[in-house]
Amino acid sequence: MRCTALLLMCVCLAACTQWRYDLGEPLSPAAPQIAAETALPLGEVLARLGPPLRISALPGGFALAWEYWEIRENLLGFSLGAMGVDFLSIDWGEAHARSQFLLLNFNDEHRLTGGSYQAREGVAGGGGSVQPFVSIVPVVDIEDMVEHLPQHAWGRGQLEPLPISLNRKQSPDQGQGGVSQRDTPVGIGQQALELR
Amino acid sequence: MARVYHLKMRDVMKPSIRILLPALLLALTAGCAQYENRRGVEATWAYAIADMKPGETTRSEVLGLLGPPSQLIALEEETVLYYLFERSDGEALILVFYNRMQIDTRYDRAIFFFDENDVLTDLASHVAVPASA
Repeated sequence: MRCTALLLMCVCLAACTQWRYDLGEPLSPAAPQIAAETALPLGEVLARLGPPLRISALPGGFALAWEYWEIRENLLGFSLGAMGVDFLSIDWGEAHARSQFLLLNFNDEHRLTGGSYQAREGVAGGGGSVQPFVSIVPVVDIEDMVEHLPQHAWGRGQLEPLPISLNRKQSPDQGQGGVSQRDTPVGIGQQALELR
Repeated sequence: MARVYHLKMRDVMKPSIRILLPALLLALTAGCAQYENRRGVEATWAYAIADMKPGETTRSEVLGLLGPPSQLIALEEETVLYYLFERSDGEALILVFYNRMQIDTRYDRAIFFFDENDVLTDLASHVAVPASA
């Protein structure tokens, strides 16, 4: 009886999946303190934090940013397809994210003029669904949080669809139009005109 | 006598089958995967950077040693060369009814600032140690 129950459970569990993402390395414990300081020379900041992950020119200076992300995604799916009842699938999922982000502004004399540090932790999404035949709607979507850094797309910027290419000069991915965090929505704000 | 023997075998086999059957099912459906994903400019600067000195090294020397950067940024009269190498190591355990994927991404990077005369003013580099190390 136990064996049958175990087999039945195995057959019904169409998917029970855990995804674990570690993006980068945790920031230095000195990060919050550096964000509160001013007039530090660039060389000293780089020596303490290492090279930044994001950079952008600003009027009269530039901005550097460091980040770390830890994302956990859990998915659970039930389907009775193996028992001949393939008109129903039940899915549940959730995602948690923990991140650190440090943004520092420097003037054109390479002196720190200000900064901001934030550590976040919380639910990044989740949901459940009962769908007929096949699961079409994903209950959790973290694609925008795990994509590659924008430096890799620098060379192919002009080959994107026209709405994106036209916005390249002002895009926060290009190092000339500011910096944006990893999970910033693109449907509204500076990149809304890219129609993504 | 033979009948008694038969009964004894069945009694012995029963618990074994209970354990073996799910184990066999697991073995048949189990899988694992390992992958590596690399993006960007290979981290060759780890050794070259020791010879670079602020106030002396020029932009053309850095470009000659390291090649084209991942990103070149104009800061009014200054320029920045940014080198990035992104490496993702993934491991997956696939048991059909339970799957676990672990993706660990590390960023090797170097940044160089040059003044209006194309002379190096600031630099920093970092080569990440893999999480598995």
